[in-house]
Amino acid sequence: MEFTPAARRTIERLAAAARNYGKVWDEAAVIAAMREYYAELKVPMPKTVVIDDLVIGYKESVDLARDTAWDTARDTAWDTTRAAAWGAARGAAWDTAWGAAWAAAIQNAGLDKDPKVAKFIALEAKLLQALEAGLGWFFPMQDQLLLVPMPQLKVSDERLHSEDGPAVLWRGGLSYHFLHGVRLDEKLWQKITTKKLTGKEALSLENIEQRMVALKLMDPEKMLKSIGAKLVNSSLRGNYLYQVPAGVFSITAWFLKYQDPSTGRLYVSGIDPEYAAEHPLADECMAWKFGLEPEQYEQLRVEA
Amino acid sequence: MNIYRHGDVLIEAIERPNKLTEVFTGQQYTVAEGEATGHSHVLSTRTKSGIRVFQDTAGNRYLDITGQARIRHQEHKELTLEPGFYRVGQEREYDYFLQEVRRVVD
Repeated sequence: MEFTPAARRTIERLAAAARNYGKVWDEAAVIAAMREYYAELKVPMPKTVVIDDLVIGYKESVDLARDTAWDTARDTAWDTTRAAAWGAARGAAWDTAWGAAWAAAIQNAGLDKDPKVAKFIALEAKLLQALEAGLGWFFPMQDQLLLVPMPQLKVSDERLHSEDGPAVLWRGGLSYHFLHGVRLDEKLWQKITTKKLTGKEALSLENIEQRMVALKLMDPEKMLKSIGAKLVNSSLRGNYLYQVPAGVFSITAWFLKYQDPSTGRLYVSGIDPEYAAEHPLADECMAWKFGLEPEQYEQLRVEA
Repeated sequence: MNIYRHGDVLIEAIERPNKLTEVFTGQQYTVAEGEATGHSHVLSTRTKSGIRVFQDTAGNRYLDITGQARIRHQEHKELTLEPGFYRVGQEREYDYFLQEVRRVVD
């Protein structure tokens, strides 16, 4: 798709702002941009208060009254523009729920000559300036404008991920740990990243996504070997059935290793011991996981 | 035979059972949500009230889809479901620590 120079510039600025999430916080520039934003809406700006993180922001905003004048002015600008530009702009920015991207699409569609649309673009330009200066969220309340800086984010392969610290760090110190997009408490995250989690402990993780990331960092094959698992059967559909002799667990245990058809991620999951002993075939055990008869699983072709 | 697997969710075309209670009618329905990822399997149609959700006494869920529907998730490929009556299944596993079968938690 061809972009006009104005649209291309907006997209480049958005991409640059995304790269700098959490690295920039220029309070004066944010406040100046928001002042211009309010001026465009012709609504007086209340005093600004910087909030450390979104959790506090939401909590604070619950106790304060919304600024109805701001809401009305903003909604009017947004709705008018959306009505005018929806059809033409939708193709360019459908997946980008962001005002500036909308503005880029509208510019690209040549709709910015309409004064109402031009006003919307001017508004979004101010918000883009605030974003570039580090603003993450804002709460337009009646007596206060709450500003929340963007947290520092560590992203790998489009997922929150960090093996050397929190993947999300807010200005006030609130932090969250993620591995491959999966949230873990700090203690578990530390155990996994320092390779102190044992195979048995990994299998005991109740949450299958947390188990998956633990196994991913440990290497599923090594982990299965460490608990004496023996491969009993495998199938062309990528299912592997393992048996773990009694001792690790109080009874003989059966685990299925399988790959998600969409994400390619590897999972290891326990199979009912009675069922597995009677049906020691990987595909039949996969059928059990979904409550299907083996012949139904055989016919299951639509997987994503 | 229409059976769809979407990650840890299974949607199987079945004959409509008796004695079901309707719990939802609408255009968009969240079939399952992940706790650790914040991701969800969302079913949607273009038809208003195109999705009706039922439950039996055991808590099993059923979908009555009147138009073509799509199921989406942040990390899984989108699937298209034909109109029909379906059972919603959820992946299960055996927990060797608790020694019981339980629904997969993600």
